[in-house]
Amino acid sequence: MLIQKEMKLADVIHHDHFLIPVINRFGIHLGFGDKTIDELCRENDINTIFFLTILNAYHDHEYFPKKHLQSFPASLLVNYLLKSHQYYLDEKVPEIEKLIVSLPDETDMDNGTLTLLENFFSEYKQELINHIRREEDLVYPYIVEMEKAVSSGVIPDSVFKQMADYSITDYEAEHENVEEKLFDLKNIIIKYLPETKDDRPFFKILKELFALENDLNDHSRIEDLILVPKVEAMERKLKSMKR
Amino acid sequence: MGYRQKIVLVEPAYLIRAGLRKIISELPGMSVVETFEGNEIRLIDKILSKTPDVVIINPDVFKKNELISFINKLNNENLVLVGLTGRHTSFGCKSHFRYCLDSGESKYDLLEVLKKINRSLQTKNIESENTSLTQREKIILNRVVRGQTTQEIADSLFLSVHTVNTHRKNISNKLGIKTLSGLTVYALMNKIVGMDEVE
Ligand SMILES: [Fe+2]
Ligand SMILES: [Fe+2]
Repeated sequence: MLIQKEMKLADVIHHDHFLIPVINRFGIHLGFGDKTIDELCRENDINTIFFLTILNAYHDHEYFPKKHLQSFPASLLVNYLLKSHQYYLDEKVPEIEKLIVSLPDETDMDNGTLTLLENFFSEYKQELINHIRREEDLVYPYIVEMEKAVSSGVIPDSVFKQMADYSITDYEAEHENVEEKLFDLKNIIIKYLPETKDDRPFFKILKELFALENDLNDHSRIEDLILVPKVEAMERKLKSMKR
Repeated sequence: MGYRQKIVLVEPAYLIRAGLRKIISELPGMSVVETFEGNEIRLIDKILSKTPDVVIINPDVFKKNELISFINKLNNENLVLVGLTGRHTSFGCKSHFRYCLDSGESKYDLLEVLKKINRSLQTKNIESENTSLTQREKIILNRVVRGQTTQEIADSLFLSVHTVNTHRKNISNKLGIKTLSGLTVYALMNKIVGMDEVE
């Protein structure tokens, strides 16, 4: 289904509830009645095209909004991505951590195994934090600065230096490393969990891991498919401006 | 379910990508992990970063000499290259590919070609179908999670680096665990390595 601005947001959410965290990040609160996407965007001062692009990219993995790519500023996208980082680090990850830390009280599994899982998760968490820090300290500011340079025509040397130092393609490989660890954690629990009387607490954790993975993969996909091409286009433009 | 062959698809037209994806989804042993349009920067690197088993590519996305160097580069990797051809594709062009999927073919014939590719790959991965580790693999896993490099393992077990790498790949495929930390947790849980052996 292609999500369009005339649709009622309530219908869209009934159709795909994975979009709930997305509308939350845009600051749309529940209780929006029968309002259409367009109406809600105007009320909440949201760029409608941008909102639709994100909704569709989350909803349909084949959706590649090539034509809309230039129709909103990269800074808008960066803002959105920052908000989802916040959601992972301040909400999702602590939630899962809490479930894992409380495992010793809820299962009869030996402490050795539980410690292993706990350590593995905290290792994953650290890797995720490092990745997000790098994006927020390095990648995103570079993109915002580049966009300023493109629109003003004034290109600071720092931008060229960064263009030479850092290739945006390496960035996609990094996403895979973070994804792999989360996948391994899930697989260890699904396939290799030692026998236990009550595995309900592990089901809960798995469900949360799947949800986190789902959201994170969509997030990375937006970075890879919308942000990266935008950066590549700007890099080309800047190189031609320099000549 | 066993290992799924990873397919990367390079085709500019969405309609064809979507159609091919649909057909491939009917085969349980294969899945499309990424699609490209063909005009991406550093396309080869992007394709290889997905570690595909199969690359299906429309040769029309390249100029003639570009195509040949592209094919040569991918042929050095351990993967199957499939041409996505049509009525207008020249015979010379088709001859570069071991397998061709022709857009004019019926569904039945397309599926036959895909099944043939799948079978040829399965014999390659037959060892990884069995999911329990062999004694040798356990020994290698033990050393891997203790932090030994491939070179060190090869030297101490009198194996070639290539053999050790093959073992490592098989271990990861069998277990469905890729990262070192994941392998460590597995090895500890299954007493393949002792708690005191890893830092
Ligand atoms: Fe991010
Ligand atoms: Fe990211």
